[in-house]
Amino acid sequence: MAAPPDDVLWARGLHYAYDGSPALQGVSIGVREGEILAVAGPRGSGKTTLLRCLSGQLLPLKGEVWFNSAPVHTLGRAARERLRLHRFGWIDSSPRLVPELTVWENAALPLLLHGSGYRAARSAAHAWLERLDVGDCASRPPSALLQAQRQRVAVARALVHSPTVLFADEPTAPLHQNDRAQVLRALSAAARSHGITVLLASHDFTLDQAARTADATGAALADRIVGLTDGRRARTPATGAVPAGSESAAACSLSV
Amino acid sequence: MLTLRLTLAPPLALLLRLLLVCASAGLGLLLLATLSFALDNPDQRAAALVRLVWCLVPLAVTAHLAAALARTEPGSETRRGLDSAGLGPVRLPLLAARTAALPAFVGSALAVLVAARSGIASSSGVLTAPRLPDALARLPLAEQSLPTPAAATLLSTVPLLTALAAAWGARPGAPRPWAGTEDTGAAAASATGARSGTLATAGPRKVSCQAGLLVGAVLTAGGLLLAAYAARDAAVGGSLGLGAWTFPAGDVAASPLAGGWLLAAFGLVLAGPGLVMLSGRLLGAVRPGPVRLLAGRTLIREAPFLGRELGALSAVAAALVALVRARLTDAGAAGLPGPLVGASVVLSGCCVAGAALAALVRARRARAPLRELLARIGASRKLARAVTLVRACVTLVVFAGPAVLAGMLTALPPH
Repeated sequence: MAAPPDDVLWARGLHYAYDGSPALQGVSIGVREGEILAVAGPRGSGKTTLLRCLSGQLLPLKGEVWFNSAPVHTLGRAARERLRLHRFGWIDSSPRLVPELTVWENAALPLLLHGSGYRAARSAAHAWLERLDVGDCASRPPSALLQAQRQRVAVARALVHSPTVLFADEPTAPLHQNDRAQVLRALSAAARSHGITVLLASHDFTLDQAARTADATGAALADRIVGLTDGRRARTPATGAVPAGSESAAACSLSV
Repeated sequence: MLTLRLTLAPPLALLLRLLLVCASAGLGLLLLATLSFALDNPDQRAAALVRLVWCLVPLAVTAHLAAALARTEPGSETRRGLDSAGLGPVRLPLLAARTAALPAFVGSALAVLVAARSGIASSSGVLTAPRLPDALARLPLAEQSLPTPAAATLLSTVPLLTALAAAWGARPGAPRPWAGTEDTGAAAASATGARSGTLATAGPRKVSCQAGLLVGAVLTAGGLLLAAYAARDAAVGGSLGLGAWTFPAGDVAASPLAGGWLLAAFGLVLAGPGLVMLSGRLLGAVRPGPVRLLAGRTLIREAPFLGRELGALSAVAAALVALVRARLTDAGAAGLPGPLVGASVVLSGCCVAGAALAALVRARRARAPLRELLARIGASRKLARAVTLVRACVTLVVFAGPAVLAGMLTALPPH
């Protein structure tokens, strides 16, 4: 089966198990270039495992992962690390900032790891931090920031090297409602303006209209939603396009 | 039993516990020998007191090892589980005290056993027992029986102090390597007050590191000077001592020479955190790349809880250098201590090394979130290895320098 030509990342029949307990049981998924794809499902449904398989952190037991028409599942460890460093970005459910580095050094870490110069990395990190409203605390340690600010620094770190695909594993889990909406809007606006493909995992997609307009769960920002239940693609909710997608994209570009 | 199963598993803890048993046994023998000396020579009160005071050094080292053990065990994961099971930061020190007192008690009992057996053997000549030669290393109970209350009091100080040190090491406010990390779970396990506390103490701790470096350097220099002065005085006058406070030439332990050595060692210990922090600063200065940045900043963060142990280790290294010098120049052969004192010195060195090992393991454990993050971002393993290598090399150089210098400059007892 050949992938549709506009799928930047696709996987077929993914199986994965942690020490025998199954996490993924035959998941197939395709992500189009530039879209924001939401992976929805309750805790333990395999969202994180799916994202880690797609980003090359885990090798699936069975199944294939292809990125830009090249196989990922056959790559060696070093090649997958290089792929992650140069083409992928990752946001966790907790900020995971390095406590001994300052905020801008945290944000610039991928660029420094790329080997780009100190000054270039610094200015790029500062630009992203400004964009995400944490520019004024760039030279402070992460422990002096609020949790929502730290999470925005983590977003800046994931975007600073302009990745092709951004994996966001429940990026709003530790935040309050207001901060959630803000972080998600910032994330989606940045992704749309740079044409970055986003895979957004979340367990609290409320699919009623009120939540969509409230913009708090990320459902409104996603172009498509894929449901995941017990390691399989869920038949419901529908995997069709979310009607509110285009409006929210317009709203996002205004908000940041 | 539960405690044993919770804490016995890792080989490092087993090793440290074994070391604690050996150290407290050696210390117990030393204390009994001191008591025996005091009983044998009731007219030499000052000499007996000096010997007792010198027993404080291995005692302090043993307590230090117990505190290091309590800090290392149980690990942060187990600690969180214990906390949710109701064994929180208040009751954990009690548990640590109990687990540390047990090996110390076993060691003291061993000391009594060895002393009693050798005493019986020497009086009747029938039983085979570890018979140590030389009058300098005379074991207690060789000639007369020790008063039980005095022996019991002396021996009970070891488990008691060990337990206190362990409780102190496991207390809630103790400096932890993961303090300041905002989301590593272990920080969440400690109270929220502790988190705000790290923010408040971040500044003063840096200052205290630098002040420690200064004070430590001054103390080391002072100790080396004192030792040199005492040695010169002894070479001129034939007796060790300053002015009217003279001692026979053979008794190095009671002279200012040994006091100078001790002062220099103490200075090295105090200077440790400042040295680590300074090396981290230098490493991360002037537009660092990722390797220098990560290695340097990690050193700065780890300075407060890794520095003392490494400083003590460098003091031991300095002592080794001085010992090698003494062997090479054949100086101080007259004043060499007996096997019992030698064994305590070796055990003390092992205890310091064990505590340093425990601190290094703790630091490594605290770096686990960083390793995980680097793997997520996709940093190569080569980079992680380079960071570790650079950090280790810089630490080695920074501590080997003062150790070798102090060892070379230390005055040795005259012929």
